[in-house]
Amino acid sequence: MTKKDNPTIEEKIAMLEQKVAWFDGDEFALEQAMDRYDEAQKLADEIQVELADLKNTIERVNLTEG
Amino acid sequence: MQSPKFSVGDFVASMNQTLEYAYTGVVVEGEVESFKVNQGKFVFFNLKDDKASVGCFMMVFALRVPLEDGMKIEVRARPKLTQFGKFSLTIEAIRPVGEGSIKKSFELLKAKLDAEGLFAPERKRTLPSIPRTVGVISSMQSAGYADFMKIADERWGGVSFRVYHTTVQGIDAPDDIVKAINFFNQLAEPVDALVVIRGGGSADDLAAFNDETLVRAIAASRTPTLVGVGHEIDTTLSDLVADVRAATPSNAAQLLLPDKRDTSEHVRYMMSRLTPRIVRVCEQRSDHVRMQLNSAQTALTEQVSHVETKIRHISQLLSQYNPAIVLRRGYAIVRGDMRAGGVIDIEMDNVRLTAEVHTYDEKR
Repeated sequence: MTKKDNPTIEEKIAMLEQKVAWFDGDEFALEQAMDRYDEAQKLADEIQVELADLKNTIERVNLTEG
Repeated sequence: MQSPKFSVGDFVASMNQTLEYAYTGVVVEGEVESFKVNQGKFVFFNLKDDKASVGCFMMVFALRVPLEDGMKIEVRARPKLTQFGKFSLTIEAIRPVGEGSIKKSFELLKAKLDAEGLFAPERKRTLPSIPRTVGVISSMQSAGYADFMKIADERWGGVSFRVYHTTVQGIDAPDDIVKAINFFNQLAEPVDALVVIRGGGSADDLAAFNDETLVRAIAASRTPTLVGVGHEIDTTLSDLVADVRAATPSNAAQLLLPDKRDTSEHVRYMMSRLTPRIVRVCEQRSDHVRMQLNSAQTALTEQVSHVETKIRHISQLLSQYNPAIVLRRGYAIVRGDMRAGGVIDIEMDNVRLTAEVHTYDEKR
């Protein structure tokens, strides 16, 4: 699976920032706004779910010592 | 029983064998006296207390804390009888003990490393904004480690922490930590950040983090380093040389990872700006249409008013040509035979007359 297929949460946040920036930019077009809004909302929901679900892992690397 | 008989050389060798068997390593605490370095390679000094004094020897490269006469230190050493029959301690490790000696050692080493530029701000690297893999060097049983992990779990997820369990105080701690740093720096896939943590303790407990070899290992780390040792008021040379210095282990977790609550809030904030933006643009468009309509209406009104004025003006002009109005101004209309003796009708504003022409002269 490529990185693009499975972006990290940081990449998703960057993508969301880019989508949101479109609304403030010169390319903003009201005709496209609703579709773009839906895409951004979907991404934002994904990020919120990931933020809630992500867990850290701990691995001891020098098991034979101490 | 017959006493054993030796040559001098055998006797010294036998004594050393006995000493090695009886004391594989001893730890002795005392005050430094007659400290000197010979030929830039050999370190000699006496370790004394109020009852005795013993000679000490070590190689200069093994000297990891600056020494001065009067400093109180703890040494790990092997007792040895030299070929000249002199008893001495061959030093393996040294650490200053007591607040005064620790402070003195700290200041001397700090000045030395500072002169080399090890603490210079331009050497500092930044930590990755969100590290994926983090090497942690700490005692896994320590409260500082527990605090770090607790705060790390509260703040962010998805990080792979690779923990190298070490001692974090005592004479062996610096070597343990250096070994851990080397381990992480030799990984084929290096971690994104290296964190060295230890909770609070006395100056003596934290002295391991002022060890020269350890400080240099942190400075030389390929991976960016974050050091959080002791409490906010504690400063060690490891703190000073680290790329990022944390006041405490908890603070280290705060500096290392973003807070997912802040990120979540940021995402919510970004989305909350979109609807007002769309509404604002709709309102702007609506205002624009309204303004256009108003302009058209104003232009139309002006045109109508202009035509009305023009009609009024023409009407007024026309009215000036109305014969009745001319008669009202005192003029008269004369009709009939305009010759001398002819009969004519004269119409005035409010009377009609019939008259006879008395004379008729052409005007020239």
